[in-house]
Amino acid sequence: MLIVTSIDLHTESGKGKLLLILGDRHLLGVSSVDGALKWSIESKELSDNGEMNIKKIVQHDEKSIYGVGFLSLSGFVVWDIDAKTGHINSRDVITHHQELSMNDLIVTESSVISLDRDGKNIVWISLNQQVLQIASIERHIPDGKGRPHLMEEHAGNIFVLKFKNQISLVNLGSSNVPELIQSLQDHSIVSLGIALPGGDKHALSVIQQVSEDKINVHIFMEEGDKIKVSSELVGSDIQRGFVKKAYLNAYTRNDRSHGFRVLVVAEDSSLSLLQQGEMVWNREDGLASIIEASTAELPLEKEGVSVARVEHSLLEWLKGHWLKLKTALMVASVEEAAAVQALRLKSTDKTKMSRDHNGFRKLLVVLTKTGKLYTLHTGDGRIVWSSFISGFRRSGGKLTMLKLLPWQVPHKHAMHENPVFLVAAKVASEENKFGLLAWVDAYSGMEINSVRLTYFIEQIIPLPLTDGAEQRLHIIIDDHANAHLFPATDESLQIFLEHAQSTYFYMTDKEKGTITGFAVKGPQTASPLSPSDGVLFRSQQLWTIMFPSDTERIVTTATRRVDEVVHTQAKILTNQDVLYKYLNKNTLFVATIAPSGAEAFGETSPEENWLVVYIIDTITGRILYRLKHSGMCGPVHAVFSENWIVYHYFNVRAHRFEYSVIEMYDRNRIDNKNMLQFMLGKDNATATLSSYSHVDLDVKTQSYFFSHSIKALTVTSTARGITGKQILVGSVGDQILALDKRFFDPRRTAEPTQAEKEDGIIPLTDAIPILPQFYLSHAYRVEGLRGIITVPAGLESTSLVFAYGVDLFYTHTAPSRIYDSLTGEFNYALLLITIFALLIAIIISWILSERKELKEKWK
Amino acid sequence: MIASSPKSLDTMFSRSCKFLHLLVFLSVCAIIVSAFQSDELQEDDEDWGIVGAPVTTITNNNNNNIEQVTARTHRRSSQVSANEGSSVSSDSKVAFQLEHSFGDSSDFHVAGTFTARLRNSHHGGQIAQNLVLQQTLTKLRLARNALTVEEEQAFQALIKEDGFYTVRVPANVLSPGQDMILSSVKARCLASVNLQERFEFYMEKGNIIAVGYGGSDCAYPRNLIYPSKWSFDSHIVMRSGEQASRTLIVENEAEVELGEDGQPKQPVEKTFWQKYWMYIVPLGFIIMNVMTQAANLPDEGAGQTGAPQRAASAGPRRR
Repeated sequence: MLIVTSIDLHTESGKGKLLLILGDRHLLGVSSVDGALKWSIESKELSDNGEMNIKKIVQHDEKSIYGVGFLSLSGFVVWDIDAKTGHINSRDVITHHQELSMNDLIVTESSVISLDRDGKNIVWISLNQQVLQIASIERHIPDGKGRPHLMEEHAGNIFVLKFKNQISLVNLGSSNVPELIQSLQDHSIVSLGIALPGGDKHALSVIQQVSEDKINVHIFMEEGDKIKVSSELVGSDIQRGFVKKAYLNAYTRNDRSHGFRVLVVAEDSSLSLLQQGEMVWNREDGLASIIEASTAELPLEKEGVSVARVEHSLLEWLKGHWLKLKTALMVASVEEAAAVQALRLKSTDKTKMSRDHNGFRKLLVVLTKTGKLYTLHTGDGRIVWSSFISGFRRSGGKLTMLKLLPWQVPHKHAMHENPVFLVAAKVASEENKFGLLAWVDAYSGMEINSVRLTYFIEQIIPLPLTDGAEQRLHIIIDDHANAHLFPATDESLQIFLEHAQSTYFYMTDKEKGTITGFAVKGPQTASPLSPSDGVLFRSQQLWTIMFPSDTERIVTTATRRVDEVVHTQAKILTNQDVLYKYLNKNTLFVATIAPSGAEAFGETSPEENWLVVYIIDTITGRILYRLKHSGMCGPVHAVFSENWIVYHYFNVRAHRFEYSVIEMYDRNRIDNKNMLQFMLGKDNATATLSSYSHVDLDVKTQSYFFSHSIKALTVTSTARGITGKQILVGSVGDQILALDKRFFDPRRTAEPTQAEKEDGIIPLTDAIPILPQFYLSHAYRVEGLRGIITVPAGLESTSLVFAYGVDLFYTHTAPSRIYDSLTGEFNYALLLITIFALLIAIIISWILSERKELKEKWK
Repeated sequence: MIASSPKSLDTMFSRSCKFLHLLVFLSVCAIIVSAFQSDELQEDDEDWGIVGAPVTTITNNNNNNIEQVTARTHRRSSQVSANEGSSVSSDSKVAFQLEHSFGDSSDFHVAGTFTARLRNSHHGGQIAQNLVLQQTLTKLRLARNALTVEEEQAFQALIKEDGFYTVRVPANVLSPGQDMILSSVKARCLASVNLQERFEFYMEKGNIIAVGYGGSDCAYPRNLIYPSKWSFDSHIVMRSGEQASRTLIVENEAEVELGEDGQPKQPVEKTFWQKYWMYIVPLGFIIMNVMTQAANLPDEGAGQTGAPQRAASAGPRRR
């Protein structure tokens, strides 16, 4: 227990605060001016049985403080302590003939209030008179149901009793009789009480949720003996959920009376300021807690719509032109100039709500910790819609958001359907654990369906299969390693059964240090279609990998992106040799470190640290490659793409951060090495591969120093995988660095030959350089950076980058420069002028030559 | 998650490749075996006949290939040997069981026994306090029990339904506990190569991390073939992975300059002329100027005295 309160203290040197720190063993007085310890009282001085007895501390006057606690079970102890010296002036004991409730104790300015053990009576003492008084709750608050509790929030002499169905505000005024001010039903939140400036006035506010879209703000102000109550009804957004916390603030109105404003934190972590019955402003602070992000395509531009829009805004169009003319003639006012600026921004293609040819405009769908979905437009970052998933809200227990997955992507024959996202969450309460699923329309934010599963979700695996309506098939793995197929329709079951024989999954247990592989076994139930629970499949355990707990601990795993596109399976070298990439999608990268390395940094020697990385086939559980780095420790960040893995860790011996790269090539296919065969398609690139065949990997590795610790690591992705890659690094300074993959090439040598140079091999350097132009985030910092996602644009050269943390950041990157479109800076005017000039030149020279010819003929 | 698609079959090709793969695989095995060179200090190599030998292949009736593995444990020990720097070795026999199951991962039966020699060699090195205990597992062999009639039938059923044949060994071979390492293979993969099985042990300090188990090769599609004999040919490989090493430690990191295409440009050493031409050329001009002036100097000196002198000198020439 550690309670810190501060009191005003007047000393010789002027005004200052005294911080009172109450711990288990001491009560300390610390000066806020210089942090000096003024005094300290040991617990044995403040107790009867050796344990610290003080539960609450309150300032009595300028010179003394009161410490209040319980005396065994039936009485109060009040210590009067000198605030300047820490000397105990007096100790008073007031006993009661009944036992008191140890959990209910508040100390207001003039009294100590508690309840008796069964919550039937209010028991209080006045600090001045020190006489114990009792009042029956039932008599004073007849409508309260159940056992009440005292709430911590109080203001002046007003305190709050929380019943099962209501909260009751009670005034313990000078009359010394508890007086019920008001009882409030529904969901009500009490703010902390505040003291108003000038005089001994106090105020407290209660936010009462009247309905889903209306809240009632009650202000209770104590003015001497009188209590003033005022209420204001404020409209609120359903999508913000219920109020979670409220903070009261007072100001002086024009007529010198007290006005109040309340800062409200809603269920979705948004902040709103309420004043004079209105919502003055609000901030979507829920966006600071993004846990998953994905993108959706915008709808196609429909014909006819744009025409109607133009007609509708003909007047506005004229007005816009008039304003533009005014600004051009420099006669526009400041407001008009701002309006023109806004119009210009609006008229650009960037912010349109339709798909563009290059695929730059997208909807960013993000899931936050509170269970709210937001959709942001990539053009200007505005919120298109936000929605609370109603199916998740009334679940009870601790709700944890798990995943946001694209369920239905408009494609092929389902082109005019709206994209749909699947949101998964799990609830763990004391009684049971279960999973929740919801399907949300990406254009409207409408919740199409939500189900409460009868099992817990361990893992959700999107399958590379879709049904007739382009809905992706998913299997959900529960905590008994059973697989449940979604959507639970006959059609999807038929599709899945064709592939069920070769469906495998694995589970990683970081605590136990095991990775276990399973195979899916045929459907279990006779009538398998239960739309809310999916089709049940049992599984068979196939393999186990167990890292010895005394030498290795799993820190990071990495797999390839499910939607990754690889353009070519082979790497053709300048000397016409072919290296075949090992592109098995069922490959897992695992990094383990020494358990001692996880302890506080600097306590272990390089000999006690090591990092071991594995490449594992997740179908057979075979370790394809194992590499041990001695003297390295975590944290480890890794990214896996195509046939390579880049990982980042700390080199204890060199005291520097390091990157390592692993590239895997398939030696099995080396027999058709000839480039000519490859070009003619006479290789076995299309042959079916089995994980049970022998794998012969050719692994190339290399390590490079790096000067930064990092927060996130990812790689760019493009539509067809032709463009080179960039490694995107979330630096410790909350910036995004784009490092060319060629820096990580394991084939780099100190002095590359001419052929290697033609392959684009950079001479080997000790470290990965950081050049100013590598900063994708320019001068901006993405505060509290936690993750980066990359999405391919329609243009092959470009990859879209979205970084999230407390701040959000979005940009484009072109790893091999924009080779497939003209940049914005392209000088069209010059091109036109050149063409025009050339045309004129041609015409003139033609006329001249004609004339000359004519003259020749006349001669 | 889908391991292999049943489409695009290339049966003919895979069949012809099978023997080739086997060959490649065997040769690779030989490479693996010969590639490993322990740096352990051995005193009695001859006793074992395997350490230090280039190819450590021992063939017994089960045709086992054995490779030795080294495992190290750091132990803070009070029993520092009197003669520091030397090593003390002791060895013991280790045996652990191989269990198998036919399709049902809960029903395991003993299938054979692995035996190995464990060599404990203490290395009192430079660090006197840290005595390094090296536990070396060598001569790993498998004595497989013959398949019973029921097991044979179960195996046949497994081949028919293309099910999984699962084996397991204890995770800790020195003191077997609850933890087991599982590995499975499609029964047809074993059947197609006549029950030639292959164990690939990954070990660390007496613990098995993983066992790669399977037939020597298995191409897709797996055809329904029954083995001609019901006894296993075991092949055992032990591995411990690779040690990472840095290729280059550059002391003075050169400044990297980025060229047009985004890759660092290596500064090209300029020739003397390229570097200093702007000084040499003006200097050359100055020298030439000076020389011409110097050549003209006598004339000029004559010119200064005036035209009559020139006329005077012209006179005798004419003569």
